[in-house]
Amino acid sequence: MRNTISVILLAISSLILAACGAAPTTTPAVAPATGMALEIRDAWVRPANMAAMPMEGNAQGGSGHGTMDQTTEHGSMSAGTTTAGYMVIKNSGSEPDYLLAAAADIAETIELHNVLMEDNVMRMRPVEKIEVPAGGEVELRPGGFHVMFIDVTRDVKEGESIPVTLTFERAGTVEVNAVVRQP
Amino acid sequence: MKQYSFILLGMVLLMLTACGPSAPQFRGTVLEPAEPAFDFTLIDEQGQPFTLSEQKGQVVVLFFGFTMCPDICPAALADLSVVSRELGADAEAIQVALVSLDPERDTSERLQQYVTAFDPRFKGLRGDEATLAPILKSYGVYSEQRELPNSAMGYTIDHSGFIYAIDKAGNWRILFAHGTAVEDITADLRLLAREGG
Ligand SMILES: [Cu+2]
Repeated sequence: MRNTISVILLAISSLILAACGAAPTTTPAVAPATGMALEIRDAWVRPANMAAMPMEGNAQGGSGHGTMDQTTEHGSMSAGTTTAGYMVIKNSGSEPDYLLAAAADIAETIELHNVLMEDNVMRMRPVEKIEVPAGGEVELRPGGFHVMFIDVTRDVKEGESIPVTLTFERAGTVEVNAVVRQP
Repeated sequence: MKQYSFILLGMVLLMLTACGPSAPQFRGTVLEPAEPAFDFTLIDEQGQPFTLSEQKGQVVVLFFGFTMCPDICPAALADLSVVSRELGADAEAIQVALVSLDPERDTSERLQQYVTAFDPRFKGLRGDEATLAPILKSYGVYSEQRELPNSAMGYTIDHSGFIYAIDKAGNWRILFAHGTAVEDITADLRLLAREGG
């Protein structure tokens, strides 16, 4: 009888330990108290080179063949460099959570996107939020959900670590360090 | 009697190996009969004209995409840069080129920055819509500009993700679907690179 109780106690305490302990030790995510149910791993960002700024004058560049310079007049529309970030988000809680936004200092605008592949055709679309199912996980990966960095403000070099702040509906903000690398 | 069957077997083997070189085993989708690839002239990342039919003697590998593309384009170009490395000396017979589906945003400077980050030998080609239209039609490239009112991107380009291989004689020979294994692309391009041109 005494044995059974201690086994149960042991089970309960290890459950508690697992619930509290897992996140800080196994991930680079610095989860604040509110983000305990979430565990983020394998966060990475594709390297990006800043597009060369059009040079003034711009006369020497071409061979005189064709004038295909089209001045864009789309106002606010971006013509900058983009890159994408990926990660796996695990939710050990009993309620679904939602990734609402991401912030980092490498781009003017950061959005959440999805890619739909159908018959070898790629369609990228913005999404309002990304669900992290209760007791499950969601994978942000090439060809699927991703964090889209638009108008990248500096070179993002392989091997760098980029701090990214994620905002979740329930867990609030969670910091992760995303490694810059090729897939 | 046994001897005869050995001789027969030997003859069959000889015949098989004789056939081998003329019927190489490609892993991508082989276009049969191979037809001359649709010719075009676009402007490369240096601002110089690039005419497909002037590349004879080189294997030309085409991918259609755009530089703001997050996923399929960098994945395909990264794969092709690995292929180039794996090919070693055979890579000298191969010219990889990204054809922009977004000539409005993809200037030559931008294309240069983008493609050379994958491999300094890669080319980035662009042309206006009128130049592009018959090329896309001929290669069966799906490409459609989509407005994205809720995104800072303004618009995106929905597009297909095939890789096209044109042999040294200027014939469109092989089509690789998106996600074809690097080793399969490498094996096929090596065969094409070693053909007489
Ligand atoms: Cu995107």
